[in-house]
Amino acid sequence: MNLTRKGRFIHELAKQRMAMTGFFVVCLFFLIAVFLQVLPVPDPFALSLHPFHLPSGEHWMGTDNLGRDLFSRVLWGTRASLLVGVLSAGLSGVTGIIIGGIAGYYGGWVDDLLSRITDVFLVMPIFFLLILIVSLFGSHIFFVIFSIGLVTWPRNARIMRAQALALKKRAYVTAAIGSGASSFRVLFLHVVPNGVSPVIAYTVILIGQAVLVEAGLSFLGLGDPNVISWGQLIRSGQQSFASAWWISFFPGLMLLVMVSAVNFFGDGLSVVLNPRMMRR
Amino acid sequence: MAKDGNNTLLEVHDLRMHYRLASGAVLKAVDGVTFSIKRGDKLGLIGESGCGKTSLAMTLMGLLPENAFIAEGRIFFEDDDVLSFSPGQWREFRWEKVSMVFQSAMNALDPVYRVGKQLTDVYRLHRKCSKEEAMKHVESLFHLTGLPVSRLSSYPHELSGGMKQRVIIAMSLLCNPSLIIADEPTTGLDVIIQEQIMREIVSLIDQLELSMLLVSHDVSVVTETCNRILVMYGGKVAESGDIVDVFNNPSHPYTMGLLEAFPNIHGPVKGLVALPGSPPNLALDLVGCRFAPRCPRKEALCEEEDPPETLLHGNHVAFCHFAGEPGMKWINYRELNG
Amino acid sequence: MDKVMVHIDNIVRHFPVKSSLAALFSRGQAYVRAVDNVSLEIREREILGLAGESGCGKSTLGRLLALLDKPTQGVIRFEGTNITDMLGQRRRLKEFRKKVQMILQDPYESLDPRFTVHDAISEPLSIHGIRSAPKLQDRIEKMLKVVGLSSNDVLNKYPHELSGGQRQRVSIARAMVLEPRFVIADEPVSMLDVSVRAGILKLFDHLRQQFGVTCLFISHDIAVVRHLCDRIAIMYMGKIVEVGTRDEIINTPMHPYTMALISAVPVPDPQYKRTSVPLGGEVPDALRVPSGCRFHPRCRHAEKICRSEEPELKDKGGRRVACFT
Repeated sequence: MNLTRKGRFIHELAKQRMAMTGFFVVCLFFLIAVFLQVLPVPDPFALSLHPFHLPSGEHWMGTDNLGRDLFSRVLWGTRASLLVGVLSAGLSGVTGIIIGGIAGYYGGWVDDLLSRITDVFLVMPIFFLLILIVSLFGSHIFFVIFSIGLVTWPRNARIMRAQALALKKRAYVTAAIGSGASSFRVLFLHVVPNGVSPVIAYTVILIGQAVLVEAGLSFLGLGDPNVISWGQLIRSGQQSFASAWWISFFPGLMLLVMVSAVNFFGDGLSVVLNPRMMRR
Repeated sequence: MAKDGNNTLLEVHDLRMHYRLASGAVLKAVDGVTFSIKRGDKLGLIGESGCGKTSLAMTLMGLLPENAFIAEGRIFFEDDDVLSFSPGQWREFRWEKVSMVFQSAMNALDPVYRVGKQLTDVYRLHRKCSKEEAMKHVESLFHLTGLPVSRLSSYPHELSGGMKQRVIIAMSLLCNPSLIIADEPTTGLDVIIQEQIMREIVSLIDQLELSMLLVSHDVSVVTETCNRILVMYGGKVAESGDIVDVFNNPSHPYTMGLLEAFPNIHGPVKGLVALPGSPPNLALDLVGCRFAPRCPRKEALCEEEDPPETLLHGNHVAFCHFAGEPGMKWINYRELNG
Repeated sequence: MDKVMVHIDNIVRHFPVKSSLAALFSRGQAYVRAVDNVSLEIREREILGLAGESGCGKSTLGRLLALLDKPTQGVIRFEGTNITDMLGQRRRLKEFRKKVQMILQDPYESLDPRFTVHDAISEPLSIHGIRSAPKLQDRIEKMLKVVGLSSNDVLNKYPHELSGGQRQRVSIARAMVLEPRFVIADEPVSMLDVSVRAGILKLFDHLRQQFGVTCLFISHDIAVVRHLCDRIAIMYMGKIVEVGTRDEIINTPMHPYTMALISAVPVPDPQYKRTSVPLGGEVPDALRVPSGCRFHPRCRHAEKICRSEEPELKDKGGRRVACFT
């Protein structure tokens, strides 16, 4: 069997059952979020005359305090979660790769400076920092994405820096330098692509974390009020939890499923992307 | 069963050792190897990467990884059936009857313990004795291998490459084995040290009347130290015999090519020879002569049938359909290289 | 006498040692003198072998010549131009890289595992301004042919799909695609199977014939060096101890170390009786360089002067030897 690297990679990944389950669940969520408008679900904003309705044939997850169909609201919440999760993890990943890559590859005072900055951010308590930012600057959803990304990049930077330190000694890096390649080229065409796997694995897990953070912020009332999100939904069901448990329960369940799915996938990914796989 | 009674030390009959791969395929690392070692023999096992020589050496020591298994064959050491050993018997066999000099010290020496302690520990694993007695024995081995006794308290990283290799040699001699398997003992060492070490190994072997199996890819080293040679290719034996016979009359095309590929620093400066192609993939089901795809004299027969053993002279045998035929003398690889 | 292409004048490369143990022994900074006052000339179109055992500094010297490292002292002149300080001058350095290329030892590490053969060989071309796809394709195919690979076979393959010999040929193609004037090959065949080595060595000869390229062939294997090189320089502990033509060095070595080295090489002929010059001791620790001639502790002919003064490379009938005896 002479599989290409991609082939082998996919083959190994497919063997990780939990990871694949996680992957399919996430894909499902993704599809929901994308095709939401064409799905035959009731209008999430439509008020009805049946508030606090138990889950039934008409309202699969019941209705909330204003009679809005919970099922459709929960599905709409997928959008916000995925948006925040993926974009902020992505931002975090890219920032981390750039900063960590530069620090590891150039070394010297550049590394010293960037590492100090990384360390400073690493010790900050993410959540409280975010609360601070959002309280000061507002809670528009893109602000939330930006803030999460900005605060979580250090771990990625550390990973990338370690990789860059190891990879810059490789013969093919020397060969590229010998061919006259600029540092930029060597760093972003040779070092980063070969060292990025653990960053990718961590970034996937970050998606789950970002989703949780967003839920937390919304739960505290600090999220974007114009966007339906699971945290917001959980919050809205808080008061009536004893009698209308489903209002908080279903969004909470979705949150659990989404984050678990992402984590399983991220775990499986990091096992497969283990450096041993990369070498012949 | 041993024919010569006391004289034959090791007999290997049609040994087949395979690896089970993750993909489900079976890699036939050693595919039907037969040979014997008499007392006092120094047999050189020659071949390139992937020919199965290291797998063979590991099989003889019982140091096989989990996915390796013996498909067929027998190994007899002094009339004992080695492959049917229990773990306890293996423990007695390893190091006491047959021991190994590994390729690099990194494979054999633990970096966090002093070398003296490592040697005494190994010794006391096999012989019940006090620490003092063990230390005395190790000291005598240090003398034998030319190591200063002061080095007993050194850590491996404090020793030079040559010294580490001598420690490994001392370790192999701890329990007075009859056969030493040396797996590329000087690869990676500089040529001057290599020469010293090989000279010492041979002198120790002769002095203690031991036998040696030298596994190497370096024909020059083998030619200088061994009296018999076995050439492996693709998991099988290509040619074997007394070294003078094989060298003067190589009868397998691979052997001819190999000998021509080795630069002789004192011979004429002729062009070196390169063998086209590359070794076979032993995970596939191969038919016929393993060397056929690269052989300049191959014919249809070669690709269909395994070549038989052709007896040439005394000990000298070759596995080629056309071995010994007049047209087969010294295939001109140079001509083919163009 | 061919024109001299590379002048190496008193090149020194020291590496400061950071361990505290070394600081204990010497007051101030301890140095490893990897290359210590080396002077050498490399002539156009020649293949010069640089031989010596591990740690003698030959690889370091190779890197200095390829401007992958900067000498601590001394001057390197390439085709008349002083290149010693070029490392900081980006544009001149880039031009230089077109003319001087290095081939590395490890065929398994020299190629980026994520680059196909096509990508790997086109990279130097892209860096130096040749980017149009048909032009790239053309030059790559031509180069693959030169190194003996069929582009249909390997063009879109990844390094892990190739054998060691093939990878090394790709490395060579990559180095040669810019048609450099000078190639430094650092142990290019040491990690290859013996049956494959000859092909690569032939390739070097072929490259010299076809492109007129000058080559510095670094190797610890004297037997290999002998089969390829016109002249040989022997290094020991950071210094060049002898330089001469191939036949002079191999057949009539003059420096005691060279004699020991040649006599220690095993010979693949069971009927050849090799007499080796026994050499005591081992290469001393790089931090405790012997006084005077570095070789004197192991030399049978050592005399008083050898302990106190360092011999210089002197002309002795056409070649150069650094020895008092």
